[in-house]
Amino acid sequence: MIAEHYLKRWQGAGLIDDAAVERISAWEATHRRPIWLWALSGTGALAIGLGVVAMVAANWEDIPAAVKLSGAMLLTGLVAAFVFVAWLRDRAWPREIGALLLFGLVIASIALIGQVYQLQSEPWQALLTWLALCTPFLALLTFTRLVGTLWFAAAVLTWFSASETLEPLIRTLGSASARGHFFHVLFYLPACLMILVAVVRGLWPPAEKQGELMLKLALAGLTGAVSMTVITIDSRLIDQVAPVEIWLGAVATALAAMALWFGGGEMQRRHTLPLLGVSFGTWAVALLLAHPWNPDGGLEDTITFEAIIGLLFILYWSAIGWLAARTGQRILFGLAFTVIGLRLLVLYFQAIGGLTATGFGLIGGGLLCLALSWLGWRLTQRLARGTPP
Amino acid sequence: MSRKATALLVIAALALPLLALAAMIGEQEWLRSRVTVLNVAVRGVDPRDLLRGHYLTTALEWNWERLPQPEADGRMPEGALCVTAIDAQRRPRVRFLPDSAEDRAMARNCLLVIPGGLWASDRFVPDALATSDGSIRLFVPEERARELERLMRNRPGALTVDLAVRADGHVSIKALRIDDEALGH
Repeated sequence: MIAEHYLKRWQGAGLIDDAAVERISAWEATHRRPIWLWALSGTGALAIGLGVVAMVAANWEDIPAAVKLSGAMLLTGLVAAFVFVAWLRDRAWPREIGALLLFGLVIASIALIGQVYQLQSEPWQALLTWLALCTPFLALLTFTRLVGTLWFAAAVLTWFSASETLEPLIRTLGSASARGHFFHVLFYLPACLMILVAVVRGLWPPAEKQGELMLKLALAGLTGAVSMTVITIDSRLIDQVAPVEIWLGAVATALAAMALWFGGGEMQRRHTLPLLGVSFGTWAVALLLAHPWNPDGGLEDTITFEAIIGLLFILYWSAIGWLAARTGQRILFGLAFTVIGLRLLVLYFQAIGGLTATGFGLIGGGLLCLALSWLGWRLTQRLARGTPP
Repeated sequence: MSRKATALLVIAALALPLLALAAMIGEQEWLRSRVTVLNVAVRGVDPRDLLRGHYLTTALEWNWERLPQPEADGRMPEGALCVTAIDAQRRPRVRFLPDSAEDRAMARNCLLVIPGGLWASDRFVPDALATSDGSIRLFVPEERARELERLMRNRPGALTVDLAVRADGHVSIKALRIDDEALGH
């Protein structure tokens, strides 16, 4: 339907003739993918998996443990066999959905074993076991972006569920100089590691699209981690930073950069390496600025600190906007512009003393937003015409 | 890679979770087959675990010969639990065994020695059951969670657990009991 809409537009504009319209329509008809059916079946598999987990969580005492465990093993075995047969017969849709179902059944079985035998392991240990057992068959047999996204989400969930175990480890590495929270490290490290995973995944041609999506998600996570680090430093939630934390970030960045350099395509290197470099630079500078800013200083000192951190944030998103403009990514450019506008608004309110200071503050802030929106719209239009702003 | 080699790889990848799950079940069953069972009362409150279902956060109520004493700096000593007697209802009488040469010699007089730690003067947690906060999680049927929580509060000692203890002191929870009747399976 979308193809027909554009074909009519281009035909009406005289860009293509009737013969081209027919050829394109015929090709689309033979290569049509039932996206909605994929979405529905994926939702169904996910619902079944969640339903099984919920039933395990209900812990039916009416069913003996041996029956529950045997049933779980039998069901898991049957689904595994189904996936194998689907692979053997080269049936993509049943293979993907079956693998997704198997993914859900394995975690449900791990949960069931933990429940039956009253095991005291932490949730992250169960999740890590789940990932370790399922990643091989998912990597070999699934190539859709849906499954890639779900695996990505599971990996991120596992990482963050282990944060209580990871934080003391980081504190030990940093010794006495590390204080406060470590979420700046806990968010930054997995983003870099997932870039590495995404690039490696994309090296295998059948999984190229899956790898591309995972890379986009990892880069989004990286941007979020850096932005959040700057914001939390502004809020004084990060107290003092040990050099080892920046070194950890440097090593993770280097690994991601090497993966992109050696494993990524020409376009990937051109788009993502500068973003990686700018992200690490901003993150590291923000952490270096996190040293207590003259705790006995007055209001002037606070304003200076907030202005510098605010400027760092704006510079970071300006760099993202510039990279987006150079690579023709209008949506990202628009997002960067919006984020900068919002941050300027926050800086404005910080300077005048907040919302309660005066009604003129609100009016001024609103005018600023309108001005920035007009400017952003003009720049985006220029980008659309192929003229970088 | 040939189709046959790929098929073997696929079979191995699909069999991995099944074999691992079977091994986990087998390990637990084997551990339970070579144990002494002790029945210990529990106390606690009732939060939730989304993955494994409803659980009670509990502490074990040991029958102490005498309560362990903190050291001069207020910290609880390192050591193990010495089971000195087990009654007809499999309830153990226990004594704390600090990590001193004299007390290690006393271990020979113990029926069982369970490694673990003291989280308070009356709160000993076996190493194999320890979580990050020293509590123990007991997974219970959803529809009975509230009832069991009330039971623990209103009738201390009514809720007990069967602990399966190996010769090396490793402990696992075998069953939950209400007034000596096993819950569910």
